[in-house]
Amino acid sequence: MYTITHKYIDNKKLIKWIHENNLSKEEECLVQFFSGIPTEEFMQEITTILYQNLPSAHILGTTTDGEIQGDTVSNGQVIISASVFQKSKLKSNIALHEKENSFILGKDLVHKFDCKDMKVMICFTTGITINGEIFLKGVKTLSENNFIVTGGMAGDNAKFENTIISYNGQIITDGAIAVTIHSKYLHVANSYKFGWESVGLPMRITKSKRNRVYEIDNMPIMDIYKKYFGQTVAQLLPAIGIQIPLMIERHGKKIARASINKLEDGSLLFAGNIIEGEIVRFGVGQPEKIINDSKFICHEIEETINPESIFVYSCMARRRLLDTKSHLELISIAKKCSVSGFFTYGEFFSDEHDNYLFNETMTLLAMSESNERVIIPDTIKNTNYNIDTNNNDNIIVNALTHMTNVIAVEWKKKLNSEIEKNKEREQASFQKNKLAQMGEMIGMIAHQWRQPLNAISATGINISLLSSMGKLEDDKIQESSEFIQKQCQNMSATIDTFMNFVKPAKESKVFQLTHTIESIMQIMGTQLSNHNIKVIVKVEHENAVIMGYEDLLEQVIINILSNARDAFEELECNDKFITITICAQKEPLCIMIEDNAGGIPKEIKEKIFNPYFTTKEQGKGTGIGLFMSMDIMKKSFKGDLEYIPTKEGSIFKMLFNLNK
Amino acid sequence: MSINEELRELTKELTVLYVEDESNTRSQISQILQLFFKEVLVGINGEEALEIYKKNHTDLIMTDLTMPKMDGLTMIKEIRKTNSAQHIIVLTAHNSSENLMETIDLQLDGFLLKPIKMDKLITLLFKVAKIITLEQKNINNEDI
Repeated sequence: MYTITHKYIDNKKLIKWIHENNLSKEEECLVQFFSGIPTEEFMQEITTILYQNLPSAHILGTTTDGEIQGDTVSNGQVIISASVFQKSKLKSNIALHEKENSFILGKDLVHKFDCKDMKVMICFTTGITINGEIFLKGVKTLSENNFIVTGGMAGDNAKFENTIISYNGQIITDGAIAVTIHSKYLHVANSYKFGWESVGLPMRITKSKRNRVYEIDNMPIMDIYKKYFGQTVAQLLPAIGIQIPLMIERHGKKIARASINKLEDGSLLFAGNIIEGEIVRFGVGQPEKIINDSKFICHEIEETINPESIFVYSCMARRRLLDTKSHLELISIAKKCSVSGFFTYGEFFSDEHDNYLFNETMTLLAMSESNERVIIPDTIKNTNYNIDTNNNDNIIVNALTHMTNVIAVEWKKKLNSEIEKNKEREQASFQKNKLAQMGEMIGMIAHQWRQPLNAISATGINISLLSSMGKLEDDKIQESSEFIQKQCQNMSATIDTFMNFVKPAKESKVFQLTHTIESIMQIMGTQLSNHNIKVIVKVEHENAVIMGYEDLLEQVIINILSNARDAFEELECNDKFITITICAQKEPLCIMIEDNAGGIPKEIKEKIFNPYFTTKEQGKGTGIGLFMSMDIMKKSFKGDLEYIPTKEGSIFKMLFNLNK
Repeated sequence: MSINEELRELTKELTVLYVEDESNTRSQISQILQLFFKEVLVGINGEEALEIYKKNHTDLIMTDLTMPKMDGLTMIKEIRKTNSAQHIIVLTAHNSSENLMETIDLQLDGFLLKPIKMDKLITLLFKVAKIITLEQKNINNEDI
């Protein structure tokens, strides 16, 4: 195969070039034209001429933000590239973006082809109306691992108004075209270079919809750009967006997302999706690093094949950033073979994992129909491009990038140490609370044990007295012994129950709420009835189950019950009750604990969930109970804890899985 | 004669009302009391005991403090209204939250801490039974 290129001057010279090169006689001919004149009239004119003169060729055209011919970068010119294949078959097709669904567009397009021996698919899409990433997902429905997907999205000299593609004499303002190359003998390799540096702190996308981003770190995106780059730079959006893109990482690949449009509601439209929740940083392009990186792309490709033609689909941002140096990226590859391509609004790339929409990269497709491999001369390997590393701009950009990152790291460290301290503090209160809970537990054991101890002791006295009076019969000894043993078994069982409660964090699992309430009543029941408190358990929802740490929920319920018990202490009341209800409604699940212990005074009602707030006398309460309970409900059960005052007391409402 | 036998001599003509809500303890202690007293009446809470007491003024009342429906303290106050001289022993748990000062003010005949120790029970019963017996003797003498 071979590729020849032509720089358009006028129609006459173009036709002459076609005839001189006998292109019309070639059976398998791919014509790509890259037009820096993004008008429908001109695109129509060029594609018509090409189609009239090369009726059997596959003619794909796109508007650009710059053109590539060999190691020359132009702007506002038209480059025509014709590739002739000897051992391969070409197919081409078109799809329109009819339902405003880029996925269907990609899927429709790719399914017009058949996979047999397909090595590569070169796609061009219009640049503004299409979501390139979604388009590639549609393409993936067939391409997956089977063939290379490459190409790019049309540009319009950074005007972001009208990007046009064309196919065999027809122009398209909203759609996609592709050519596929089928062969047993074609060698293909794709590669890309990036070179943008991440700067500043990682930020989270907090509101986005596909490729439209509204908020970062809960701030309007425009405010974020203003905050970090200043008013002047922010005003230059979206044009400047491509030079300060957002950087994300997927499958270990750094991917840049450049803003391509500013919308009225303050959101920015990006040349690819950014998913809500994704972590981004700003990217800054440093010319020196970019050029140095791209130096090696040629060697990478040559490790696999000896290219006869190379197509370059490079990001507009590179041309704009590298400016007069943008051709430097091309020198080494242009030495090897014919090079042609254009500067895009988004590059298509694929590997064994996925299809990718890139921004800011230079992607390469190298092809060969020969089996020869080339040995790279050492002199080329060490090609020095004589980049002026002392360039003042470079030094300052380097320095500022470095400074920003140092500040970011230091700030993060400081923040982390604060977080660490807070964690320690939280840990300490947790410990304190744990101790208070242990105290509660011991109190409950005391109540639970006192009665059997009394009974056992009395039994002992009974036997002793009977014996001293000579009235002790064998039956009485048997009966008493059995009684004592039974009491001891009960006491032992009490210990087991308590140990279960004290054991550190059980595993997270599904449990029944009725079971939780039952086991709490086993240990607290005696204590509450000793305080003359009647406990009523109402189960309206028999099979209510929750996923999580049961012991944490037990802590919350015990805490609320203990508070009620303490509140009753200061109350003269003959009809003390606590009602525990597992509510009937299915969503959200809810447990209500109601008491008639007088309630919480209005003036402190607002403070009860604050840490360290307590009304209990010194030493009795830690003030952490309700705070921790709330924390547990929110963090461990994605729920809430509500306080509702009643006429005679309080209701605490525990809600589960609110944001399911 | 052992102290138990001496106590038996003192109490064999006396009646006692024993109030306790917990059944195991109640059963055991009432068995012990039956070894000594002529009659042992049993109440399971303050309210019930008060009813029993209205019908039967026993010589001695032994009561727990923490009980459902009516606690020991309230019951004692009620009894004091009709019979200020009633002999009363309170059985209570160590460390329990009852208002001790208020209890002291009720001029009781004695306290027993639960779990009960035998020697303390016998000594206290001996002391109280002696006083009751002496009082009854005095009354009888006055009658003569």
